[in-house]
Amino acid sequence: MSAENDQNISEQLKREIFEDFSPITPIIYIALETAQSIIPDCLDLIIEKCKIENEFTNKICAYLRPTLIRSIVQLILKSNNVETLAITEEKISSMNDDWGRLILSNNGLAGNYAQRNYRILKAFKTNAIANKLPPPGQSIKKQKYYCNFHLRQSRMKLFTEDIEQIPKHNAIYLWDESSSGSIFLYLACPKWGKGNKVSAYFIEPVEHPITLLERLISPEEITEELGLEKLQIDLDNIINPETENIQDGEISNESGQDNLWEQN
Amino acid sequence: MSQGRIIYGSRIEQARKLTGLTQRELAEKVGVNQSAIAFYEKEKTTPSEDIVKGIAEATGFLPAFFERIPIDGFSKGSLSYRAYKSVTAKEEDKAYLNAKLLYEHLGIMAKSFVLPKLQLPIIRERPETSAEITRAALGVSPDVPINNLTYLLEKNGIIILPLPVFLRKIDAFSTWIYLQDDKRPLIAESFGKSGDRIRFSIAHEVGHLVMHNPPKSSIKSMEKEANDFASAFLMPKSIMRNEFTQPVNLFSIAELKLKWRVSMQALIFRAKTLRIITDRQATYLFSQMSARGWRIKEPNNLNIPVEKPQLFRKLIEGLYDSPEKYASDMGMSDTRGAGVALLV
Repeated sequence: MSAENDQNISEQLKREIFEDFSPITPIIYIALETAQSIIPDCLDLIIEKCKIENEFTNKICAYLRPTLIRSIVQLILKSNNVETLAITEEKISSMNDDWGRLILSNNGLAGNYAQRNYRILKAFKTNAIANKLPPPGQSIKKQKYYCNFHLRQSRMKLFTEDIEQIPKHNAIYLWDESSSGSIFLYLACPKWGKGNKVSAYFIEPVEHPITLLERLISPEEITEELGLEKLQIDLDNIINPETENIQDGEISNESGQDNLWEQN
Repeated sequence: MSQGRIIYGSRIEQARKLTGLTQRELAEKVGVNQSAIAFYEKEKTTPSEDIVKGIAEATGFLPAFFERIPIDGFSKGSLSYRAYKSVTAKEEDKAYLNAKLLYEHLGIMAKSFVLPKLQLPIIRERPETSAEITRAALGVSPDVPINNLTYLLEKNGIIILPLPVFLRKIDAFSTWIYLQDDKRPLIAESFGKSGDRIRFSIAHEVGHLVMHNPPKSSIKSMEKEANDFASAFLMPKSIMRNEFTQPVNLFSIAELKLKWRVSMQALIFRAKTLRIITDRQATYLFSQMSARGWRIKEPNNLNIPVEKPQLFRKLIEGLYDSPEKYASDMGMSDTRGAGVALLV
């Protein structure tokens, strides 16, 4: 397959997947952000209630944090009628320090929407998405999930009426956090993965849901006309009373009203 | 020019400062030396007719303007509370002079109209209570957003004058004036900013007018009280507790922004003040906004329309066929003076 073809397939897949998931993507983004914002207070509460000593606090938090995020995200999604499963059965064989810390978050959540499977995963290393999905490691299930490239060919070979029979490409929501804890979400479609190697059709940043909110207020909506009653007064007398009405060296005002500025 | 004419030095100074000229710059334009201008302004000497014409040309006013009796009684009001902010004395002076000029025009034109009855309480209560009482006095229910704050205030007799856009560093200031024999509150507002910021600035000034008449305590504490008043006035405590649904996140705050027409940052502060979110949650929400540049400029799709004051424009429209006629009646050679260009 030529590089140009490959590019076209990626672009088409991107459109399809973004469109399929358009109803749930904002919910997932907000769920992750919300979980991230309440986690520190949750951890404080746990440490306080369980009377965990200071020296263990960091270790406990590092272990609990990914699990808590996953659980809170799952709860928020459920309250928005988006059902997901926590992925627990896929063990990663390589248990070095990095993987050990990230095992729970990287196993993430799994769901299905618009007949398409998706997973919500934390980026492998903070601030290091760099167009790379977390590798599947030795997990056969994970490798299978990542293996998408044959589907495209199958779908292309079939007639339109049969196309629904072929499973759709699996997708991945990949989230990452900045040093200040801000959430950034990407939507990706894996092509292939084994061990520490991985490739994707695309990894595309998701726009923050706020930027998609429709403007609810039009400038016309705030235009209410102020009513004013006009009096029959000669404006010239007000503007230049001293020049208009000088008689015998005295200033008078024909309107009979006090000079406005004398009040002050 | 008629005999016995008086050229008021303070008018020359007013026109010069409104145009942003130094005495030396004006002197160069007119073809005299700087000390001559200083003498005219102090009324130690009277400029000749030609020089008055030169000054008029250089400043955009008509010669007749310099013969008008200068007005008094326009205090700086809350403008003087801003001394600690990053506003230069020159900018502050310019804002004051622009507002004073419009006040002068207002005083002339308002004589031909019945202005809305004033409904603004003077209260010595805490900001939260003052805001509740003020909403009630203005006829606004405690559980609804104020859709058009500028209109609401004008309808209730508060004068709102627009400052020129280039004075955007001065958000707003307020003072009490005499108009049609009555003491009235006036807010001068710079409109070159986002709609939600303008609304908050105006509400802040309402706080000063309601609670700080006469001024009390330190400038810093009055400013804080005015901010607290603005928050409570635009986002009443009783309803906000229901409006912020848990868990609070940026998206729900953005939706509330569109409903209550205040900035997302003001909403986060309010949620924090009312203990709806913890300090840490507020910090996190602010850092999320910072990471996306939304603390400097909130997303465009959430822009709140700018509410334009109507009273001043309606006075002009009610009395004049064209902006040019208005300008010439007020002693200006065009409509560029003060914030008038914004209105006509």
